[in-house]
Amino acid sequence: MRKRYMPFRSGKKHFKTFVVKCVCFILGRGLQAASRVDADVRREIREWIPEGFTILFKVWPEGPRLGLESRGGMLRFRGTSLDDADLVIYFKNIDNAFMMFTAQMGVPQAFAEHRIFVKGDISVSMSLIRCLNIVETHLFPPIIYRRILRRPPSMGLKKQFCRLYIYLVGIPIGI
Amino acid sequence: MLPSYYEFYNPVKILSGNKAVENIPFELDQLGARRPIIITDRGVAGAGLVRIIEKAFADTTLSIGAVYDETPPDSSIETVNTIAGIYRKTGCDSIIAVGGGSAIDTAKGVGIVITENSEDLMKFMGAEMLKKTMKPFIVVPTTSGTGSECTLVAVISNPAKNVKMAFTSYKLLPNVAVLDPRMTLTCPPKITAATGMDALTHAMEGFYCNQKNPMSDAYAGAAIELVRDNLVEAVKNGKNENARLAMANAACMAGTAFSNSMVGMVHGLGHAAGAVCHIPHGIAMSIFLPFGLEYNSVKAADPIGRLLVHWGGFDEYMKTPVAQRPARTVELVRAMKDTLYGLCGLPRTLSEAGVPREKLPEIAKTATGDGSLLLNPEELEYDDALRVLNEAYA
Ligand SMILES: NC(=O)c1ccc[n+]([C@@H]2O[C@H](COP(=O)([O-])OP(=O)(O)OC[C@H]3O[C@@H](n4cnc5c(N)ncnc54)[C@H](O)[C@@H]3O)[C@@H](O)[C@H]2O)c1
Ligand SMILES: [Fe+2]
Repeated sequence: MRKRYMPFRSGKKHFKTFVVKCVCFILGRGLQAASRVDADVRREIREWIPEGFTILFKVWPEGPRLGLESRGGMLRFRGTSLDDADLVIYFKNIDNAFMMFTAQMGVPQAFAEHRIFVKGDISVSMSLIRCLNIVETHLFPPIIYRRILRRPPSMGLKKQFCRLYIYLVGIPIGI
Repeated sequence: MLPSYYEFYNPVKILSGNKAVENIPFELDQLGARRPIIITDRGVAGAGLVRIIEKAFADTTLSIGAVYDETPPDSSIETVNTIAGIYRKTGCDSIIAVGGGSAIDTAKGVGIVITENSEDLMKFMGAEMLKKTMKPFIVVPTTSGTGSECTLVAVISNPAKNVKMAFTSYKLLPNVAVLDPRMTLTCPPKITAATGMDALTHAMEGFYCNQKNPMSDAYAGAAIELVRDNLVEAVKNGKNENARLAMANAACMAGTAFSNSMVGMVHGLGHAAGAVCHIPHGIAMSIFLPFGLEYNSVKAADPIGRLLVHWGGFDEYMKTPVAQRPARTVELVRAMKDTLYGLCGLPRTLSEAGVPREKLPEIAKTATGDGSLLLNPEELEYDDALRVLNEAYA
């Protein structure tokens, strides 16, 4: 029998895609809520992220995505509505996004390992990364964020309030 | 220990040594080019270095389409667009950069504009935004510092918008780097010293920052030893061809190292000090390097300790107890700064470099927007940056 050659179809990674989409939603609303109540995030936006600036996290080439827009000193969650943005953070594949979104790897390491790359102004992305670090401390328990942050913060009372707000109001209701 | 994952890429063909420049026409032909534009600056042309390149084209069928010698210090978008216009008008098909980091980065910008056929460089800011293959591109460095002949980075300023645009793409790596000892003989002592410290910083930061890998380590370690053995001689006796060629190799290897293991806070602070107070890049590197080593001595104790074998030599390394190696590395870098200050007045502190103290907060703020902080082993926030700047002031 001669072997027959045909185009190969690689299929889909349904589970990882599902998880990444969920985390996109949680992270998007988490960032939005943090930009309302966390003073450090608010300061970052005031100093670095101009009004009307759009940000997109996207799994290359056309995978799950998370859009944000800077409006009135806040980061508004834009869901999957953005196709392009002033600043785009690409994950090179769904596995990289999965690893980062399940807190197996922090941003600096992902960047060092070429798993993500940035289109746009680097200085804004540095500020965004600081915001992400803060939101990670709200979303994850210390045992996780201590592992992925270079300098884990100490969480005072104010920060505990931010965390409560994000979990009870920010993520479920979206304000 | 190996990183859990790394990438390494360096496709640049290196021509190093005696009469390297004379091989440029042959290399261009190999690349399918016949009519290069030369991009350089006044200082380099004034030192007679462009003449050497021009003569290399004698008795060949290739011709130089144009020579642009008005590149300003630090590359800007207007210059890039002007040169792209000249390139098109004179029917050039390739680029030769002759100069230091300023001329080389300008040439990289010209390459982007011509290849993408767009005057709006802003569109390509960031990483991996360039898809098309560049025109043939040959670099002849005339300083031994930036290593830009072997890096994937170009930094170009946009004065109208007051931003420095960073481009990183493997497409920005030149096809050929030409290290010819004649090309750096005329470099004045202070520029030799400053650019040499830039090369040392590339190698050291590449060696201890978070993207380090076995390949980049090999380049970085070798570069550090070449700087150790040749920088002082090159500053003292600029006509020493051996020392000059060794420094050219050091800078090129250090460039390869940091192109694959990005630099950290020393560059973050240096870019900021350059943007705010216009101190030359190499001088900023020399000022901040010991502070960067010190600041990271806890998180990166192991690689900084191992720098001692390259920078201090084997005997020094063996007789220093493990726990003291990082501190000893810092001491010996400071010793080099003192030597260079004695030889040519290379500033050791921000105040010696003429930076006004009230500018420090602005420098600190600018530094927190620099991408190189991401790969620094230790976190550096505004307050930390300001503290280090104050220490580096006097
Ligand atoms: N792309 C990269 O990888 C990279 C890395 C580091 C720095 N840089 C950039 O490089 C620039 C600095 O480059 P540089 O330090 O090489 O300085 P430079 O290119 O600005 O040159 C400094 C001066 O030295 C003169 N000169 C150079 N070579 C000479 C020679 N052989 N004889 C006589 N005079 C000579 C020049 O005319 C110029 O006036 C900065 O803009 C920096 O941001 C780029
Ligand atoms: Fe540098």
